[in-house]
Amino acid sequence: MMEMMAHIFWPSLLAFIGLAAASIAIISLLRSERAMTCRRLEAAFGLSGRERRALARLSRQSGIDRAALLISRGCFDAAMKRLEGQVRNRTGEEALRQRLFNSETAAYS
Amino acid sequence: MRGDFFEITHLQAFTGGMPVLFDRCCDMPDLERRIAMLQRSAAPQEAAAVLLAALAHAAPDEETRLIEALLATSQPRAIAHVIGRLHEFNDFVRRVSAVPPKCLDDALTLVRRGGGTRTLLNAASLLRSLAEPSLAHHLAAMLESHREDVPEQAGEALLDMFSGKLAASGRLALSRDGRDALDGAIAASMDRYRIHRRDELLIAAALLSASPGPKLAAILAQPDHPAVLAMRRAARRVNEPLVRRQLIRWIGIDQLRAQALRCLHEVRLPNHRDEMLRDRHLLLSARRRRAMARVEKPASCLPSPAELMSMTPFGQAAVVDLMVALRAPAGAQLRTLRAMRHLPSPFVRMKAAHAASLHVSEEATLYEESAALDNDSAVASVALAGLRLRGREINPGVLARVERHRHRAGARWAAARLASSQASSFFARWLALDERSRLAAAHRVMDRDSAGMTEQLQQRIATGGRMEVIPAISLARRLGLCDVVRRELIARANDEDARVASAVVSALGSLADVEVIRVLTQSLDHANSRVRANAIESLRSQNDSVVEQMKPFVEGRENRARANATLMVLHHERERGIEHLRDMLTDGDPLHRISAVWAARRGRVHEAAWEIDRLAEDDPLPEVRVRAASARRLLATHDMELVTA
Repeated sequence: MMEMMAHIFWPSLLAFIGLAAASIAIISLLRSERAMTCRRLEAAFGLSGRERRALARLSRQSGIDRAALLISRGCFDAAMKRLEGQVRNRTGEEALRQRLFNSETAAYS
Repeated sequence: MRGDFFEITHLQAFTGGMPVLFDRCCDMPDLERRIAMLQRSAAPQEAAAVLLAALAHAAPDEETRLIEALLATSQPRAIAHVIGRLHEFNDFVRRVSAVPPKCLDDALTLVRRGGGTRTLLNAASLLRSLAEPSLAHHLAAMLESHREDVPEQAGEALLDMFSGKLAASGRLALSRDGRDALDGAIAASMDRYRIHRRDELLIAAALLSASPGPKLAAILAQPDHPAVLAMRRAARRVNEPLVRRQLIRWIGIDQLRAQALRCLHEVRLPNHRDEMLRDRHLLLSARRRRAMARVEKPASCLPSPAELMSMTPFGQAAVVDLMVALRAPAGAQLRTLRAMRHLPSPFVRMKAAHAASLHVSEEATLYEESAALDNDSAVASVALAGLRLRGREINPGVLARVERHRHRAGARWAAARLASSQASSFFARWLALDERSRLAAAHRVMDRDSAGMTEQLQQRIATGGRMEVIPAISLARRLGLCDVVRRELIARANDEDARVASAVVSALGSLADVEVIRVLTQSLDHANSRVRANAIESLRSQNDSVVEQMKPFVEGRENRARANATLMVLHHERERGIEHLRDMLTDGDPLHRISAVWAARRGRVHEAAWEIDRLAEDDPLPEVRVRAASARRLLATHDMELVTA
């Protein structure tokens, strides 16, 4: 039994752990890449800390990519529409939308 | 771009090197600028992921620009997404075409693995418009798709790709790589024919079989391969234009020859025949010609007169080639040729006349005789050439009609042919013939009717007007009949017309008797200088008793007579003649110098070479210099010949 454990179980377990660790590393790398892109865009747009938090909240609650919200007005409006009825106070998001797409037509309301 | 913006360079450290472009005090950028910022701040793969996420919820007015940005990333996933939406954005087909082939290849692989029906149909449509051989394997793979309509669309696209790449020669106009790619794609699909059973693939393989690549050739070499068997069956579908157009070509391909030969007669409609005969030049190949002998029902392959009339002139002309290649029964061929006789196209009539010349029957001769009267001179020429080649006696009635025909060359030929038959016929039209034809005809008549010819010549020289007598004298000289017409010639030696007299005097030069010398001596006193010059020339070969009479001419001022007289003196007393010639070469009159050069050249007077050299270099008149130089070259050549001998 011990011999079987030594020859099969432990190597398999180690391989599994190694694979999982590698996957986690890759995923976190990709995520960090995405997050970096997003941070760069936010900085380039000159967003304040409050606006960044509002954007992150909107992304989290609507499930739409944060960078995509910055790029497309349609995305932003779709995210805002998803929050309708769920979140009462959308002032921060509305202000952000006003600032990001101030001269473009609102479509979510 | 809306609004102004400014850079805050000291903040770049916080933005990963990206400049901070917008502050609260200015307007935000429009979509164009936002995309540009994304492309600058993220790697293409990352940018494509963001754009795809954005495109999922984009406003309608943003979609076009976002798709453009997606294509610019050249990421397979992004391009695959665009392909999936091509039915919504038709304008993007061209832009997708501009994507590098490798990216497009990867994108299409993604589409094939996970794309829905619509995406696959879009991909087939895209590949059809691209016609890129290196992507043909995607279409070949799509033939096996279980999605509705996809195999059909892929098959049609594959066939379109082939037929679009066929050059005028019928062969694929492709680079080596393109040919290899197509070969690989088709061979792979042929191997899996049992799974998809698409006819379009079979036709495409049949098209490619004219010059198959190594992979397809390996499959074609297996006669029992299911795809090869199916391809042979497909080659008999003459109702399909692609099959009809390739039938002639397939006669030269081992795998498809039997089928093509078996169904050639099934192409009946005029426009179908036109299509089939599009590659008529292939009928000239010896291999195809040999194979054509095994065509089923060859007579049925030829069109009826009504069908022939409905064909295009190109097709009508091709029918002649087909007829010759088919070796159809002579009756059927002549029936078709007769129908062609009345077609409006001269080219077709000409080809028909030429084809008729290959037949030996009496009916073919009659056909050519009627074609010789065609209004088009080219057709008449070909028919006449055919008649000539036959070498048979042609009906005089037909010849007489051809002679009156407006086709000039034919009329001349018929006149010469009629003139050759007998003396009366010759003298009825001899003045209308050119000199060469006249002499040839006269020789033929002499062989058949020499008595009649001589009699007519004597009569014309004795009593004919100037227009007849001069050609008659010339003909007598050419035929060697001067002795026969001697009496008539002497009678006209003192003719009032100087041209007649000079012709007579020239002709008498070939005769040598006392009476002739007497007549020629009398002519030395003729009023016309040309007659006198000719008389001196004719007397040159006579005895030296007349040399003394040359003195006034040698010292005279008539250049032709003087040159002839000098030649005569040279002939009999060379030293004296050379002296006279030197005098003449240094004469002040350029005409005399030119005549002297002629005499030196004619008499091969090498002793006067120095004087001729002087003339060639120093004479003030260019014409004299040119003639002297020419004479000098001739004399030099003659010198060389003498040395060699």
